[in-house]
Order: sequence, then structure tokens, then C-alpha cells
Amino acid sequence: MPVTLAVLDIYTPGIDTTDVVYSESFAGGAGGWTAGANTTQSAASGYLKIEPSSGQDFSSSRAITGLTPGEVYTVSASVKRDASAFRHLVAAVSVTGQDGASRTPSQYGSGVGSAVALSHTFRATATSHTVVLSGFVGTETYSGVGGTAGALRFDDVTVCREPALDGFISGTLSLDENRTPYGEGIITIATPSIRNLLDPRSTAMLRVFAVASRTVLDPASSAVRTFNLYLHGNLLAAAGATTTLTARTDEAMLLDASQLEEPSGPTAAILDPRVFGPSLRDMIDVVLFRHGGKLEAGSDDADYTITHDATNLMINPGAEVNTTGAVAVNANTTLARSTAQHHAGVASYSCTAIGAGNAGLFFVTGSAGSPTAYMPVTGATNVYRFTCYVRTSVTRDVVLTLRYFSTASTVIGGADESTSPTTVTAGVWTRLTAAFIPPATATFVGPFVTGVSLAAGNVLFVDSALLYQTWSDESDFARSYADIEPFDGATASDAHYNYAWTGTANASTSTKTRSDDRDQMVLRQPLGMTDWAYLSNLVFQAGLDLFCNEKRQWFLVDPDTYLPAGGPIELREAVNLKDGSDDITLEGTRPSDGTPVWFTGVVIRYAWIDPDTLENREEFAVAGDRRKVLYLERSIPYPGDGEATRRLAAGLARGRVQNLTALADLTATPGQAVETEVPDVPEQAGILSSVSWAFSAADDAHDVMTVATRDLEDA
Amino acid sequence: MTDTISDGVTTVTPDLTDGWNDTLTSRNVIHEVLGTAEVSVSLRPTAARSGTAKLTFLTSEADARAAQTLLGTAAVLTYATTDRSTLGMDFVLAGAATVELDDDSRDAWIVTFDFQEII
Repeated sequence: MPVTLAVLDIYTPGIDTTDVVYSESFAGGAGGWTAGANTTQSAASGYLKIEPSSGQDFSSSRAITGLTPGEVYTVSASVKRDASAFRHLVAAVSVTGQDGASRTPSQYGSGVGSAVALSHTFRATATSHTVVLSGFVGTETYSGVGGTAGALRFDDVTVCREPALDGFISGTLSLDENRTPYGEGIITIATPSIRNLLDPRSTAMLRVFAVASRTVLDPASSAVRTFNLYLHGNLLAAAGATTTLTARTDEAMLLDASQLEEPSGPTAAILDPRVFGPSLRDMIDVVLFRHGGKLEAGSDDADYTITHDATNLMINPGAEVNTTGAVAVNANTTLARSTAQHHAGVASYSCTAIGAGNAGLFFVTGSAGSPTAYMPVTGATNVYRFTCYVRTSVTRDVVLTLRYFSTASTVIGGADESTSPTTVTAGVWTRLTAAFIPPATATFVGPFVTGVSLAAGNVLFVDSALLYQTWSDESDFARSYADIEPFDGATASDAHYNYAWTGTANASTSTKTRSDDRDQMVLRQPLGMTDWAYLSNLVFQAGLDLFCNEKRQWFLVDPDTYLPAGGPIELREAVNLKDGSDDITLEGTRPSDGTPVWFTGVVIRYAWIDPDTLENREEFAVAGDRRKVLYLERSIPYPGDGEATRRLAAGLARGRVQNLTALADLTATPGQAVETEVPDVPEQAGILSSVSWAFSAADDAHDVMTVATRDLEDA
Repeated sequence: MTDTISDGVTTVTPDLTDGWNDTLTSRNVIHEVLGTAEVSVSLRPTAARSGTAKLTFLTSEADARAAQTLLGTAAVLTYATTDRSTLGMDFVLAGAATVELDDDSRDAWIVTFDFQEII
């Protein structure tokens, strides 16, 4: 049986630092800092400037010597934006191989930024470590906001030794996959003289750095685990002269922060979730960038591309089989079907100029030569878009025009609307678009395409025509990305849409139908909604887990496949098991959220107010059967039934739960495999769900851990 | 032979140290593991010495009272003695500081106090 020595040391970085091990203000150049990969570095003006020469990541590093293994140090630096950057621009400091990284919030903005303090605490394991100052720049590019690739100025880099707090009394550190925040430290110390400086309200957003170490004397082995947590509470008990510090992983920041104003200006473009919708990882990073976080590399992702149904009012958008659906725009045009050129499918419309002058085509809903009607529209309210691909045999201007009709054949005089002429380069398919609101009296619209000032024999090809109704307000959040690519019923269905003709192929309107059923407003974070509520809704729906570990590393993982390094953790009688319970129950609720421990069905009611219509909306997500049902209510737009399915799997997996107390193992991490051998219980194998380590200066709750399990099966 | 208790400013000098005991209490945790007679041990440093000392003031009631007052101040005190080399320590009052008239002599005053050594 082991004899061990377990110690929990507590540090409060930046409060009472002592020895300055290293200090550099770059007054005399780069001070030995070396540019990393894809980085251009200069140090001529009292600061170190680094910027990407290519790619998104750039860095500079330097070895810091004179460290004492086992001691805790903080690297501090001041950083500012070097010039305007309307892209995400995040500065970070880390120590190679040690305890994650610390980051600034995104530093985008105009001109030279203001200095931001950046610091990272680590435990030295050698006398020399390499400190890395780095930056990350987003790839966002927006018309009108653009922005350079981004450069950062680092200054006043120091490395200081941190003193451990005296007077440790007791502490628990815990990691729990079912809790947000995932990691928590509750530490009681004799009230220190610096107690008033440990103010969780401080804009510095103070950290607590805990070093848990455990040495086994025979056979000799040792383990160390560091916890870099966000100080969240500081409670003094006067009679006992003790202070209890509560610290949590970084989800606590997202649980605190809420949307306070709608983003506007360039910021809105950078923070717009619709832009990042195709990748949930990108959407999460946009939020994490505001909190000094960034997802670790990973492949688990989800697609939240914003989608909307549409109908193409053109009955024959591409002349695939004939020219029904179009007529020559004037007597100077010979309209035909061409298979020599096509943007999509196998053919296009060709409009050949008979003599010098304009030539083009009208889209209609009947046969060539006998147009029965133009496209029906509703006037005055809805925005329509007319778009098509054009190609010319010589470089010429091309114009899109809308002609309105009050009846099937009565033109509304003087109401024609045309786009500005667009110069189309010879031989290049070019997409043209016109957005318009028909006049109030309009009931039909005739869209036409005109090549301007063609010579005899010049040809204008037109293909992939699309006329569709968008919405009354194109600035509406869910619908403003309304400039969609042309489609017809022959377009291949993809991950987001199914396409179909409403009647005969190439002779009827066609539809584009969403294959998801979520309410688009789930992509929007309304005022007052916390960052965590916003993200967790999307993450749950995708069946994924988002958490920040004790080293400030953010992960988006699939709980079914996520397997952290290490394990299996073995908890066995006659080896390390001190006490335990094995609970097989239909009763009981979970302390974290009061929901039943075990259930066979899930109903989630989503009730929200549609921001467009101000109507009450309601949707249900349902999974499982009715024997014992978990019922939840959500006041958010319906995101789909993913969360119900996910919760059902979790509920069924909790049929048997063991809560075990054992000798401490500092490598235990939720998600690892666990094997248990409890007296009178068949040997079990499952997944470790939570772990809590206890340390104490005087009590018996010391050097032990409490573990909860899930998904247990007889081994 | 001189024994003293001092807070650095005030010093009282009893006539003799009449009684002494001190104790080291283990803080090691003995873990009982299910299903085996063997135990696992987590080592922890013991607390510093604690115990009880008895000081005698042969005639001076005032000195005895001054000693009690000094023991009652909120300060780390120093106990020093010239003839018992291991007893000297910094300490704080951990329990009672009692002044008692000696039953036999009806003249000597005995101050008894519980201490916790400070390291």
C-alpha cells in the first residue's frame, strides 16, 4: 500500500510577485526574440512588432533562463494593434509545452490600438523555458471594411516568480462534464494580507493558479497537475479568520457576459454569425475571441448555414431542351438554343444581333412567339431579385431591365427599371443581378436582358436565369443573405437544400426547399442572452460538447467519441477504493439541474416570440418513449430536435451510477474510460463523468478523490 | 538561570518554570481501503508543538498578573530559558492563561497557560 505526500499550492498571479527573472522593453532592438514561422518581425521603436508573412498564425519566441523547476512564474506583456485591422486579431502568450496559453480579446479596430495587458502563468519544469508571443488573424474579408492582415506590437515583457499563498487550510478541485463551468476550485486559506486585492470584480479578471502534486514514496513516482482558473468569489469568514476563494474555468466568463447592444459598423460584419454559419467552430471562436479564448484544433463541427426556401419563377431558366420561356427582345435579335456555350446543364439561350444595335431576350411563361403571360408578382411590398449568367462573343455592356404590367398585357408606362450597364468581358460567364420592388399596381413583371450596341453577328448568351421573391425587409436578420445562386429543378440536392420542378421539367417553375427545420433566429444572440446560452443552444443541437479545461484550452467535442489521453482509471477494492455507492434507480434528481437521473423519453418545448411578426411561436422536440419523460422548456427559437436526442442518450446511460471515493489520482479526467470493482457489484466498465480531488492541511479529507461514472456495463 | 516571556517590548521574568509539557500531533491520514487489511498513508507535516507551561512567581502577585496580561495580548510571544535548551520558542496563547495562588505557601503565584508554538 502506498505512502504518499500530497500538496496543493495556491498562487494568485500578478498580486504579490517578487523576483523579476526577465525584463525586456525592446529599447535596444529585438532583445534576442526570434521570429517564428510565417512571421515578419521588427523592433526599432521601443517595441517588438510581429505580423504574418503568410497564413493566420505568427509568433516570436525567446528562451528564458534562470528559472527554478517547481516554481511558478508569470509572463506579462503589453500588446497593442499596430494599425487598422477589421479582422479578428488575437494576441497570445504561452510557454512551449507548459499549461496552455493566455490570449487577449480580439483587437480589431481602427488605427493603432490601446495597450492591453496580457499574462500567462506556468509552472517551471526546467531552468529554461521558451516563451512565445503570438498572434492570430482571421480570414474575414468584407466589402467596405476590408482591412490589412494585422500586426501586433508587444512591449514590456517580464517574467516574475510568484509566491505561493501561506496558510492553506483545505481545497477541492473538480472537473465535471455535466457542469458548466467544467472545472472548479474551492480553496480555503487563512485570510492573507492581500485578501482585499483578490477582487473578482477587478477589470484585470484575476486568476487563481493551483498546483496539485502527489509523490508516492515507494515505488517512487510523482504527478503534478496545474489548474489555471478564473477567480469568481472571495468569501471571508471573520470568526475563523479564513478566506475561501472560488475559481472556475473560463466558461464562467461566458455565463456572465450577455449581448448588450446589437453590433454595428465594421464590428457587425466581424461578429456576424451568419458569415461563420457553415462552421460551428468558427461561430464559437467569434464568441471566444471576446473572452480571450480560442478552440483547440479538432474536427468535430456542425453546419449552421443560414437557409431559406425559394421559388424560381422562370419556367425554363437555361434552355436545356428548347427556348420555351423566352422571346427575342426586339426585331434585331435571333433567339435560339445553343449547346456551344452553357453555364449550367448542356445549353443556353443565344441572342444573335441581326444588325448593329441592341439584342437580347425577354423571359416569359409561355412558348416562344406566343407569350401567354409574364411572371406574376405582388406589388409594393416584396423585394424580388432577377439574376442570370451572361456571356458575350465580344466585350460589351449588358443591362437587366424589369418591365411591369398592370394586367397580363398592359405595360405600366414609364415604370421600367434597369440596372447600370455592366461591362461583360468576351468569353467569360458573368453573373448579373437586379433587386427590385414592383410598383403597387404591378401584377406581372417581364424581365429582360439586353446586350448594348452589338455589331451584326455578335452573340449574347444567357443561362441560369433566376427570378424569385425575397422578403419585405432584406435587412431582416434571417433573410438578408438573399442573393442566392441560380437554381432550377435539375440542380442536384445538397446538404442544405432539395430542388424540384413544380411541373414538367424545363417548362415549369422550380423550388428550393430547406432540408433543416430550425428557426433561423437561433443564429442570433438577442440582447440580454448570455454568450453561453447562445452557444450552448447551438452546441447541444449539434450533439456536441463545448468546454474549457483547467489549462484554458477550449474544446468542441463529440461526447460519443471524445477520449482524453490517459486512463483507464481503475477504482478497485483492495487497491484504492475507500468508499462508494452503486445506485440503480428510477428515482432521484440530478443535483446540477434538478432533472431526473434516469428517463426513457424527452420532450423539450421551445416557446418564443417571432421578432418579425411578434407572434408567439411554439415547437416541440421529442425523443424516446413515454414510460418516464424528461420535460424541459426553452424560451429560444426552435433549433431542431438534436438536444432531445442527445439528452435521451444521456438519460438512458444513467441507469446505473457509481459515486466512488478512492485514493487520489491526479491524471483522472472526465471522458476517460473507468473500470470499477465495488464489493458485491459485478465489475463495471464505463466512462468517468466527474472527478473531485480533496486536499486539506488537517482534516481527513485529504489526498482522496471522488469520482462519478456513466455508461456503466458489466465488464 | 533566567526564564522570560516577551512580546519584544514588555518582558516578564518568572522566578522559575515549574511545569512543562508539549505535544506533537500527527496529521498523517491513514486511508482504510475496502477489501484489504492494508492501509494507505498520506504523509503530512505535524503541527508545531502545543502544550501547557506553568510559571511560578515566588512573591510578586503583580508580576504574575503582568504575565497573564502579557499572555493575553494579541501578539506572538517569545519564551526563552537559559537552562533548558529545547524549550525556547515563539508561541501564541492557545487556551487559558490562569493565575492561581499556591495552596501550600499562600505566598507564591502560579501562572498556567496553554500554548501553540509558532514556526
